[in-house]
Amino acid sequence: MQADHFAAWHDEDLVRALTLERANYQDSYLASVAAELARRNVDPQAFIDQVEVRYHAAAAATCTIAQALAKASEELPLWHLLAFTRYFGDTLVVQRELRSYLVNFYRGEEYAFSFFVTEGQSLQDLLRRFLTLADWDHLAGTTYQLDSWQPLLRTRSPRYMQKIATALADEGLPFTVQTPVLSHDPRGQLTLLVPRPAFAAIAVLHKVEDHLSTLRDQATAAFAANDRDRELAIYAELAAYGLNNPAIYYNLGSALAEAGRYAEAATAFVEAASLSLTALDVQVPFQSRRGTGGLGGIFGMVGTLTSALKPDEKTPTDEQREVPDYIEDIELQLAHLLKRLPQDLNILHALASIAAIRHDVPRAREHYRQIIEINPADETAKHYLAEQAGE
Amino acid sequence: MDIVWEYLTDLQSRHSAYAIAAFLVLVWWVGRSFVRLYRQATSGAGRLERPKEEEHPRRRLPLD
Repeated sequence: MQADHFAAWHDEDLVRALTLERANYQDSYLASVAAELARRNVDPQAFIDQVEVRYHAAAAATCTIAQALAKASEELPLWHLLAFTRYFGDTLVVQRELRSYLVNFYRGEEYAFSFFVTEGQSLQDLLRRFLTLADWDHLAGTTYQLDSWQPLLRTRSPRYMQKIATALADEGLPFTVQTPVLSHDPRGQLTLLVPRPAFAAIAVLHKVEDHLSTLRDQATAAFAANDRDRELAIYAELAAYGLNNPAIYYNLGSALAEAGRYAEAATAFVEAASLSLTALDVQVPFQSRRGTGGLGGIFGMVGTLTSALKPDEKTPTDEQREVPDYIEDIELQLAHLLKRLPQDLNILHALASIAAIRHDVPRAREHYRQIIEINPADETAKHYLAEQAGE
Repeated sequence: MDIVWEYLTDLQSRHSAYAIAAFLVLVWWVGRSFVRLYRQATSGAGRLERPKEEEHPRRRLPLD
């Protein structure tokens, strides 16, 4: 074939013909394309060795295929996303699931289909073929259209979601969990999606809910029978489900305090306070709840508290905000525990947060001053006191 | 007291009707005063509060 046949072709067109569109051409023509690229000193593999990787909600970063594969080999936290965009623009979004990876394929900007990959090595092979523009579709297996899946459960608790996901995985049912990064849920909820019809998945969910109901009844019966050890064991099991129910942590804390286990009781009450206050202020960001529990939430809440007490907003100190009575119970329990654990910063932070949420500024100020006495570098306390001093 | 009672129950008399109305107004006024006193003691900036140390939290909260 004459060289001037390709005169109007850009390098990118030639590489595209040789890779993505090779099925459209005969071998002899492809050989000519390769020869033309060689004549232009263009290495097709080096030409496409420029991809984009995006981790979760972070901005995209350009890197080589080897660097992208190295990134894919790192441990991906549960339900976190890693997106790989190859040279000509298609994207694979990989999400870590409980026992597998969910891979979503986008043609350009348009969602095409999803499939599961169970092994990390299989994922590496798949990504290598995808990024190097080799055939990869045959590795996809069963494909799904997530647009047609239905939400089975929405919750802010990663632990509860993990429990339900484990139960579904044990039954071999397909599912995926959508994080707020994808769903943009304003309340920061995780969404469990299952294919339609969802009878089997609903049955699994009901089974777990029935078990929880039984545990609640057993806990109440154990309290009535004054069987504290059994009660503690049941509340510990209930707490392990990570339900966003402050009463579970309150009752656990109360039982622990009655058993003389004050430090553990404080942890449970602080968790109850965190859940209660987060429920009051749903605008608290999802990411403020770090780790498996909600302890981080109490500190993440401070942004909301301080913003709620800015001078330009109507928050007269003589009009305290009404809070549910169980928050007053939590406050009383923590106040009693503080006498036994006067240096416990978590208790003080929880009490300060409750007072600030109620717009009880004098009390909040008092607790934050106590915190400063114990830890002069405490940023939250310093921030709050500075805000109040500025009014 | 019998004289007062007869006076009140003598419904034929216009004076008794006035007296019953005045009595009802008196009951309403006393009741309203009690409600106001109660609200003043339990809410607002000047509410009467027991020290936290003297209050007792519930041992358990309902789970549902």
